Amino acid sequence: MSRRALVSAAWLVACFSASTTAAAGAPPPSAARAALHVGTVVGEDLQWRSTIVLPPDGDGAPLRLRLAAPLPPGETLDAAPGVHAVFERDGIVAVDFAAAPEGVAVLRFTQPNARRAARAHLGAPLVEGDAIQIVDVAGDGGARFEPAAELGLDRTVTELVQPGISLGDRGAAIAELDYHAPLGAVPLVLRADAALVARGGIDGTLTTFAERRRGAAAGISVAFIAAIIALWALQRRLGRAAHEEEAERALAAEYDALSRDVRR
Amino acid sequence: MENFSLLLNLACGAELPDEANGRARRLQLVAAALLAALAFAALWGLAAGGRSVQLSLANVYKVPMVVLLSAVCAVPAGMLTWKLCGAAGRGTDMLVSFATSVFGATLILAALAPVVALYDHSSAWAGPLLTVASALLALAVGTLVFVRSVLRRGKRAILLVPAAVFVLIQLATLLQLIALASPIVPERTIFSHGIDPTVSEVER
Repeated sequence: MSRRALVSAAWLVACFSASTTAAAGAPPPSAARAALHVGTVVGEDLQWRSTIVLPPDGDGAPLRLRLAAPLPPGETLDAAPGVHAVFERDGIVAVDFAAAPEGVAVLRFTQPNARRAARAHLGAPLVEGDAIQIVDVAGDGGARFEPAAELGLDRTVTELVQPGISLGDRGAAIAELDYHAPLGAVPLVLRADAALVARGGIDGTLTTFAERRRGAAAGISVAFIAAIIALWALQRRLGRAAHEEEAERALAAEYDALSRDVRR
Repeated sequence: MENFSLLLNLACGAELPDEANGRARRLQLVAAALLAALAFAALWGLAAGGRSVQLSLANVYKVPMVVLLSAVCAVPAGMLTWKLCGAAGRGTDMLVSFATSVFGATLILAALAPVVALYDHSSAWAGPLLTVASALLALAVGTLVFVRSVLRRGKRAILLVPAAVFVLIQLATLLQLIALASPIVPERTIFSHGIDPTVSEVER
């Protein structure tokens, strides 16, 4: 075999291995077109409302919607006619519809004690596949979710976006879901790719406004005390300078008066 | 006491007397006005805590902190705007006007503190309303005192631009500092969580 043929063979092998690696990382085509998961913190629990956009031509046949990762143990699907959760090792892994819904399916889940753990694992029912999904967490006390840095989401002004999701795709998904982010919300925009599936979903920290402000309070206290000390010191120092100014003014007035007398 | 009566006269719209018109004296007045404002704010904070002794005592620190830091934060942006506007006059005059307005506003708070304390202890609905109303009144009076003082000293309308920046920056800082220091009053107000819920509430 010539040297040139060997190089060509090596190049072909490299191309094949790259394409299979990419195929392994990219999510498979999804049964859903887009999904919106809104989590509301109620006490210690997280209540999820998932809006899943499905193909409009639902044929009424039974449908199994597989989730990208099992939901945390204890999370339940709220009862709805013709909808059942499929469990595997205490976690929901899919949702069965007796008849495929046309257009949009709305599901509600309850994730108990989501706020108790120091590291929050979101029980957002991410749908398996390449559909763009938006995850938004809000609730009482200014609850805010900060995803783990390892998820590698890019922070934009309005969203946290998974790399590789174009502005156009994001816009199309938002339009399809008719999603209007509430003021102050920073939703997560992502696909259930291999990395996310391997992590078992989305994790990070879930904090309230009161928890977040504790950190700022210490800095503000230091600034306040420093400002008071500076003002006090300034007041004393300027007091002396003000006396000098006054003395100079009095001296200048005396001098002017003396000069006038001499001229006379 | 001399500083107090001088600041009071300035807040009432009087001019700085010649003997107090030196640079060091003007800056000393600024520092004195802000230090006095701390005491007045603490007095109001004590009253606004309502029936909770713990909250009242905490307010002795919180309210002066909110007032002082919001004022200090407004100074750089305000003074930069003043400089960029190219208005004639002295920067220390602008500072004296601003500090005088903070002094005047907190003086209103201190003057109303006994009424606030009385109503907080004796009325479930009028107490909180009076507390918030007294704070809003102080803000309004402080703004008016500042604008009047700036126009009287500078005698030029362009000075309203830095004055507006001073007021807006202070209000913006005030809103977030109140949120960080909450609770200041026992009741939850729309200012308790900063800008986000406040704007949502207004939008609704």
